[in-house]
Amino acid sequence: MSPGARRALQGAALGAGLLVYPFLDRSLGLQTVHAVSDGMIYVLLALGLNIVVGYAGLLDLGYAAFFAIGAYTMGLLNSPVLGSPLYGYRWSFWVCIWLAAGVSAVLGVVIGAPTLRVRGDYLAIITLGFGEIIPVAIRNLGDITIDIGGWRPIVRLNLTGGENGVNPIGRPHLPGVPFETDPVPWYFLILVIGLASLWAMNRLRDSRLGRAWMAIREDETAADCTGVNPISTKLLAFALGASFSGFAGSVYAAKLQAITPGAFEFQVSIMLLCMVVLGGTGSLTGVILGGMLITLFDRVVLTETTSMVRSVGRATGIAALTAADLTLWRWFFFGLGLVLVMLLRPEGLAGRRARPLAAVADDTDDPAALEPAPRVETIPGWLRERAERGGVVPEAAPLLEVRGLTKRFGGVVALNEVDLVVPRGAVIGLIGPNGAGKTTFFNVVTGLIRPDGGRITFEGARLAGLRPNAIVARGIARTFQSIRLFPQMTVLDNVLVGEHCRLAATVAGAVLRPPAVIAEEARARARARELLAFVGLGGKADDAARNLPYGDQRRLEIARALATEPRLLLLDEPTAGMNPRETETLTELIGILRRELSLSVLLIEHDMAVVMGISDRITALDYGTRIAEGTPAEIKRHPRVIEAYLGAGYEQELAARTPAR
Amino acid sequence: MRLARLTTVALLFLGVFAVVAGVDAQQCAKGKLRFYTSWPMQGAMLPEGTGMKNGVDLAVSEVGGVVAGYCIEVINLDDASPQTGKWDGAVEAENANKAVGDPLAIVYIGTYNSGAAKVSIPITNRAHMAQVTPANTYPGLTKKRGAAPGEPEIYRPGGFVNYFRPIPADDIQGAVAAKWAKRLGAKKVYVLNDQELYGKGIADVFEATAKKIGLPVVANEGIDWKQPDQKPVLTKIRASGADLIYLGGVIETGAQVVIRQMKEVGLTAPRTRFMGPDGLLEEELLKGATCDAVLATDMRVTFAGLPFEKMRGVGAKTYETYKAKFGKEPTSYALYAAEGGRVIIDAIRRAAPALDRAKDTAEKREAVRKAIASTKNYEGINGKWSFDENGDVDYDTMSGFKAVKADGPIGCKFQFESILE
Amino acid sequence: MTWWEVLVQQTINGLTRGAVFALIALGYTMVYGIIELINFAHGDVFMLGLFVSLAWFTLLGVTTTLTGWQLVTLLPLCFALTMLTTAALNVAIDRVAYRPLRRSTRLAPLITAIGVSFMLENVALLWKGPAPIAYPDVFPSFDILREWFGVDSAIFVTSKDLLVVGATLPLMLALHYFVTRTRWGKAMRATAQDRETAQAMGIDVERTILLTFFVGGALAGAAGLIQGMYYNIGQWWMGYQAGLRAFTAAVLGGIGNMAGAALGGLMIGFLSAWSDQYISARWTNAIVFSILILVLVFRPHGLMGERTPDKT
Repeated sequence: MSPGARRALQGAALGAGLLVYPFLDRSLGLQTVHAVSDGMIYVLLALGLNIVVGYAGLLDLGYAAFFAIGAYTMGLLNSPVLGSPLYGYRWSFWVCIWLAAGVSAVLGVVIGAPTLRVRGDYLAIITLGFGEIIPVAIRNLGDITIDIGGWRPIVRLNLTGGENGVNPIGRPHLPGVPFETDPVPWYFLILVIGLASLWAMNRLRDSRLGRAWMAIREDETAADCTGVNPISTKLLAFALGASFSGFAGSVYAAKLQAITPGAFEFQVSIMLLCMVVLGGTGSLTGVILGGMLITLFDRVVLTETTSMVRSVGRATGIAALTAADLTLWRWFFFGLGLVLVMLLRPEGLAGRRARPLAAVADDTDDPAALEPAPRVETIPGWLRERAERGGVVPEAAPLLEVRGLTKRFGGVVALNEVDLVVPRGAVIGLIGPNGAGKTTFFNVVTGLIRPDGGRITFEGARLAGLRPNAIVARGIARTFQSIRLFPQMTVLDNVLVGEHCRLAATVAGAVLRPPAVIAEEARARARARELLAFVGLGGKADDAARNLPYGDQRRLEIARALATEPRLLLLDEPTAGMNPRETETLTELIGILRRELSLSVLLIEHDMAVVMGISDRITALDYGTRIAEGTPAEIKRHPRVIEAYLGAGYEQELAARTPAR
Repeated sequence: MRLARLTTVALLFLGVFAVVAGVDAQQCAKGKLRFYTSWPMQGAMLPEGTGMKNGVDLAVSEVGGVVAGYCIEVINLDDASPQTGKWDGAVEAENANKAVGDPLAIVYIGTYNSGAAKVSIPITNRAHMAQVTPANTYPGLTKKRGAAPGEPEIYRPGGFVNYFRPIPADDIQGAVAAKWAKRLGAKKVYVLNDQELYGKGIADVFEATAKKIGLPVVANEGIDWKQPDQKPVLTKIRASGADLIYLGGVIETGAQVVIRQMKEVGLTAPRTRFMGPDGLLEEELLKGATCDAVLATDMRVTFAGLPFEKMRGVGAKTYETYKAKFGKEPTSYALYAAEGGRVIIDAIRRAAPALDRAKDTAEKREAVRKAIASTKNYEGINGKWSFDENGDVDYDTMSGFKAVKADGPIGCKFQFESILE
Repeated sequence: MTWWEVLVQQTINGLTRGAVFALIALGYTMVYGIIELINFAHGDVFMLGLFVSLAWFTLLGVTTTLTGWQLVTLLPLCFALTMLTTAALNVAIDRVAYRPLRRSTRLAPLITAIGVSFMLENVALLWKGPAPIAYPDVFPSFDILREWFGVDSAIFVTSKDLLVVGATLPLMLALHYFVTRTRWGKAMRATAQDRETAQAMGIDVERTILLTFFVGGALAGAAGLIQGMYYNIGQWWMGYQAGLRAFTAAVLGGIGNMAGAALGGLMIGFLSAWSDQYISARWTNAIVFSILILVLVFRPHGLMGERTPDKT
């Protein structure tokens, strides 16, 4: 049987089982459907949390707060008590669930917008704080009295029912289907919602947004410098996760008919986190597995083991065993589970293995292993088009103009009034001893660091205060000194992340996939493959990025940078760690980029042969100050440069080496 | 050979089974009736949960497990959530649905937490199944006084009463406490509550009654019982000049801290005294709050019903029987659970003809429900009583206790002071 | 009681609360400063400190109020024993659960810390049960103003308040001396500033981290003992509550900054007492957590911390 057919058969069996189960349960009188439906709601919640924790990598310790918001939205809209001013009109369950999701999403945005820029572990504590505040607020808002020195505008106002909770809550109405005490309609309702959610999440994961989330999770700074706005992307994940939680909460409220604030406390948040972490962050099947395991562990394993231990105790006469109650150890086991998972298998039971392999320099001399050098013919057509269209500014004006750039770190002056100009279609070299400020310069130009003084102009427009991803959108791309790929993503996906800022698919587009989005994705993939072919990685599109040899990784980084359709490319020590053959290939690539695409390149390099050979002009820094600027010939002879950096014996060295051209 | 032996064993087994079943069948010629119980049976609640279970078992064993030709089977369910270890609405709903879905189930005995009852009563009501509670005291479940808007009608979707409690509700206890406070000479009361359903409920009733009888209440404030330090709140109370603190709460929610720190902030008799509801009537509290503080604040506690030593007749006998059968003192609600079980059995006996005639499960349950509702002049542990139209008992015997010095390991104890009306 | 008497009394109340928070906050801040880990389990070490001190008192045969001679010998002995026990516990936790994760992301050890926290809470639950445990009146409690000065005031300053101050102050002074004057203290500060350079300078980084956990754990144990003697009550979940408030204190003062932790502890003590008085105790938790969130969002380096640029 072919794997496809087998999978189809497995799927059909699973589907049949899910459909038949409640009726089987009814005829056998097992009465487990209610418990299973409740468990499914929790799994739904865990799937929502998975978007936040697993996809976007945000540790949310207060997820139950959104669960509460969703449940209370449904409760307050749909319950005849409390004299709610909203209850004049009989809200339908089907409307309320979307409202609840919406309210939760809005709250997610309100909470997330100011807080998501905070570091990961602080964010976790902030979400914990919210998770604590919400039940307190719900309790206290059941009895509000404002007393300002005798003046009492509000006396015992009851907004949420307080500790009393809200009940009863209206049920869904479907012609012919009674949503009363019979659990079967509820089971199917939740099943449908669950399957729809899984479908939507799958779609999200394989979309522009899903790639952006993964990129942020892998390396937020690199994602930022590749055109992905980390804040808005995280906010989207947070809001989507919140809306799922609100959705599940509203169904929970309607099913239960009575909700109290005690059902939404810290332990629920942690239970859900356990499901996601144990099952495998980022993996849908993992989360479902984790949810099932934890529920099973709770209801079955602990109680059964307790009975076993007790019977052993009775048989052997050991009093301590007969009185044992393993259910009291529950949190110990959950805690232990978290610790063990983090120590031994942090990707969870079903997640992908997260251990990155170290980049290995590939120094085989095997000609068969030689990657084809980039050829002019393989330049992707669209890239050429883009370049030929040219920029807004006249040809003669410089592409990048930096004047008087200054940056201080405490008492250390990293950049001291540095001037630099990158003309159109030129390759400018930036050299200097270690610690001279070269990478700091890059970081300021690309927006990672804010300068203390100076002006940066790109294509005539100021770059002051822009975020890195905005600068990428303007047309500046960079690579990093130590290669920063997205190691667990495929080679193709890495390049696709580069295209993120040039694509337009939204959340709705990702889930619904209208023809426009499908076409856009297809176009993006085609372009990515063309780029990979151009840099010589054509056959490796589906390999994991971390499995590539070192030289290929560097090329992938460049391909990713090119995918952002830049007009200026900042390369930070691209030939570091490369063997002569790879260096030669890379130099050729830079040459092609400049010649054929009029792409400007600003190049930090320590390999003098490369820099001298390819640059039109070179700027030299030392201790943050520009000490020289000119053609390679001029720099070679410049006394300050020689003194600071090259050493007296340089010229002889250069003569001995064969220049690569 | 092996097969033959196996077959013989199987046949023997079946034979024994048949005999036993037959014997059983003779006793329960008319079939089985199941009582479902639902309350927390784990963690901190295990002793009380077991006590109530014992109470029901006591009632059932008194009639030998058979009533009117039906065999009684008790199924104990736990409504605590595995996740949190305390009662959970979803689990309670599962339990109620389980009971309702079982055609042999005739009555639902539960719950302990009033919040859980809110979930299960509508479910049992729709199925015409009677629900009898040994411990819920939140008034809104049966009556309007002390209830939230919409209560108690929202618990009667079928339009009739199916929920009964042989224990007086908190609105009575809160009210008599206020009257008692006034009688004791309090001039200004500061009410505190632990913000939980029971504590806040009874504190609110106290406040409302105090206002009605002209006893000034400075404020009704919720405390954060999770903090071990209540001094700021007590300082506030001292500044207000209140001469009585009424704390609605249970022993787990901070009463020990309040009483102990009252002494530390100078809030002792005659300047300020302390009163609380029966959630505080436990020896553990005396230990935790220290006799020093308890005596210094003239601590008083109300109690629904009569204390064990004051019980006469049925009450005293039940107390002794329980001690003899289970080897320990009954827990706070164990005797009420026994009372509930007995009421149910008595009702089944009265409903027997209707039960026999009933065509389906719903009719059977309806017959029993009606019989329970018409319980009149029942000889119970607190005297003779009847259910009123709300399913409440019509007696409101309350006792008042005061902490006094005593010999013994603790050094003080609660002593009955007076009957309260 | 006049308004200023109320204010003074609430401030005294806040002071004693704040001192305990400060001791716990110091542990949080020291560990964060050195390995950038929010030690979620620290509050539970504090809680176990209370339980452990009770066990030590029982072992030493102390069940009633200590008198003069005993106060000077048994009490410090118990302090020392408790602090050693919790210090050892904290070190063990680091060794087993945090050390293997030194090189991983910031979130992994946080999740592990949550797991450890649950394990500790469950151990306490199984050890002493779910009900609140009554801590015996070990320390004599009387009103100082009345007994010593014969002043009959509405303000109450008890001997227990003196205990809190009398125990906390020397501990903090000793800590300050340790951190600024001794070689080990310098090693801690250097490692907190720049781990790699400290290692390059020959400092045994792992041992320094161990020492940090040791000291932090000892302080938490002392706080637990003081808490037990002052409030006479303990419960298995109290570590979570106290831990969150103490963490807020550490953040408010500037996480990583020890003077900040002490200051933050006092401030949270005052703020919570004043909130109880002037607003309502039922809102105090929400207010404290709101402070936490606001500080983390708008001024993550707290009152006394230094603005650290995010390492790229």
